[in-house]
Amino acid sequence: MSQAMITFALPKGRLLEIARSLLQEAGLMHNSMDENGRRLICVDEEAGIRYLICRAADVPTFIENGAADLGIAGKDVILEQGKDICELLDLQAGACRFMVAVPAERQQDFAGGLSGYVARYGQLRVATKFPRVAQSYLYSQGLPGEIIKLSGNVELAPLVGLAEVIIDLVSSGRTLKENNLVPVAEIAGATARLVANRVAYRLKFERLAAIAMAIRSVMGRGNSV
Amino acid sequence: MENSGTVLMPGGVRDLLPAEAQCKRELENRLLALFASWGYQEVVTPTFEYYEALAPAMGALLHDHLYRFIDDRGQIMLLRPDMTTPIARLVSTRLRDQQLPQRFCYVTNIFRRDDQAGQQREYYQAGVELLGAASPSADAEALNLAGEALRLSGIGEFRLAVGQVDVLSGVLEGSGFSEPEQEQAKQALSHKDLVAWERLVSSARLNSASQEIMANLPYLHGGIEVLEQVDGFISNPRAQDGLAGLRQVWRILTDCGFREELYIDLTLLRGLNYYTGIVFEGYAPGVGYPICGGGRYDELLSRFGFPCPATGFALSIEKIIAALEKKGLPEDGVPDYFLAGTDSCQLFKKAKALRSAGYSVEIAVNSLPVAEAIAYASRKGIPHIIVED
Repeated sequence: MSQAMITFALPKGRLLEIARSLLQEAGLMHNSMDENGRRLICVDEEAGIRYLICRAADVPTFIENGAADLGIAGKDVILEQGKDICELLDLQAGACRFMVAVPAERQQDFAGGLSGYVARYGQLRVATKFPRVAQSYLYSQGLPGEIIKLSGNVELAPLVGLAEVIIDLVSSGRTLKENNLVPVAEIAGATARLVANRVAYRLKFERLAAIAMAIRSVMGRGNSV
Repeated sequence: MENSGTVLMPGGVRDLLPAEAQCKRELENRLLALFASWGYQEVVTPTFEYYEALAPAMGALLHDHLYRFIDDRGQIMLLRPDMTTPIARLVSTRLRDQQLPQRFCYVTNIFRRDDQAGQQREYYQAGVELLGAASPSADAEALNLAGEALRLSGIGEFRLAVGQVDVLSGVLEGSGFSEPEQEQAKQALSHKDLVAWERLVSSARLNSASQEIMANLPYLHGGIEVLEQVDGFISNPRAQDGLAGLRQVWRILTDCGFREELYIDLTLLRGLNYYTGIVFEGYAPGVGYPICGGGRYDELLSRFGFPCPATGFALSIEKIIAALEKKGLPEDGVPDYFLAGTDSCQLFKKAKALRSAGYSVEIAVNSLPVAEAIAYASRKGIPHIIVED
């Protein structure tokens, strides 16, 4: 490859498998990447791409700073971080939804929606891993509320009285069910996205557009979840 | 106070050590000399001003990043987040009786707040404002000068993307988007969210020709010929003027030797509702953020009660230095001569003579033995060492 290397940030975790099979099928990844997952940089000379393995939540940071030209990130992470990056393509994989959920036994308190609840009880505490998404949802609904940021196991909060509701990412809904929570509102859907640094998108436009095209051409062939 | 060699510094601000400070100063001096050769005069405005006086004129983008504080009299102040607003304030108040156009330039620090702890908060910019001219020639001047400044900066390869907000509006309107869809379209493009763009294009009721061209709009990069693909959509007079202006600007710039560096990208927006005509952004390989940005902002001065067309741009000094650093930072400055000896009067006189001959000279001010003074100077790499008896 005569052209300069493209640096491509891949997210560890649930999206990695999806990303890998898309990229391999699109002819953009030839070696199968390190199996034991300890190597963080993997160069594919043939494709002219250097792959980085990052924490999923860090992909937008690598992209915004230009440390990576391209990346794959969940729309959930993109929404939460509000970074200045380009979204090139919806990979239509790894779908999940931002939901508002409440304990099943309190469901009737929310029959009039969140606003009905607030009108009656006055306060609304929201436990979430996504304070920005939660805050902008409350704003958009004109609801007062307190955001309680947690790092995980958000489902606990309403069970022990830390919050009345949770806002969380839901894929199958099993975790909610197991903790006896029920969804009362959907905020937004989130799928995996191909993202790009805004300068790379303009300076290496042909390369990035060609990669996006190659990925698009193999999307929806059934191997993506 | 106990001090073990470290003190706390707030995140997002930094020291510049000699090599970098020298690099910055030389760059700034060259830029100011360039701006002066185009007839731009330097102005300096206060670091902080009344919030009330400046903030209402600022776009939402700056608003969200303002540093405010309350002074000892209880007045709300702001640290300037850019130089365009203070210069607009200056021109529309103290200089409003002056003949137009006026040309001003600056080199300064600005301050912007960010949600994230430790992010950069003090920035250095150099830029120009050309006030009181609405013509394509004025746009061409701003763009040409930005291009010259980037050439002069020594970063090597760079690109300037050029858009025109009226042309974009005209294209969106003419291609059949409803009014709310046009707003959503601009929103998607300004966030560079091509997924939202694609959805909008496929859900809007466009005819198939429009649909095809609109789907491709964000990928329409290239020379002036790309405008031919969209000019059929443009019927509103404002957009037609914009298109004619853009073509004229392109002609002037390509005549001035810019071609490879320049390309049209109609989806370039640089925030909403601030720029009113041509907008542009400069990029350098290996630097993840734009190194330059600017455009026409004809509405700003009227917010200070002085309607006046204006255009300009700012260069990011630290991003340009970052691009230069990729090519290697200069060595720390070393003087030409080192003078040591016992008779200080002699040394100072000798140094004065050398300096007036154009050399830089360092005098030994620590009373070291001669051998140690020589060792010091040679470690530092000073080429000429003179020891006076």
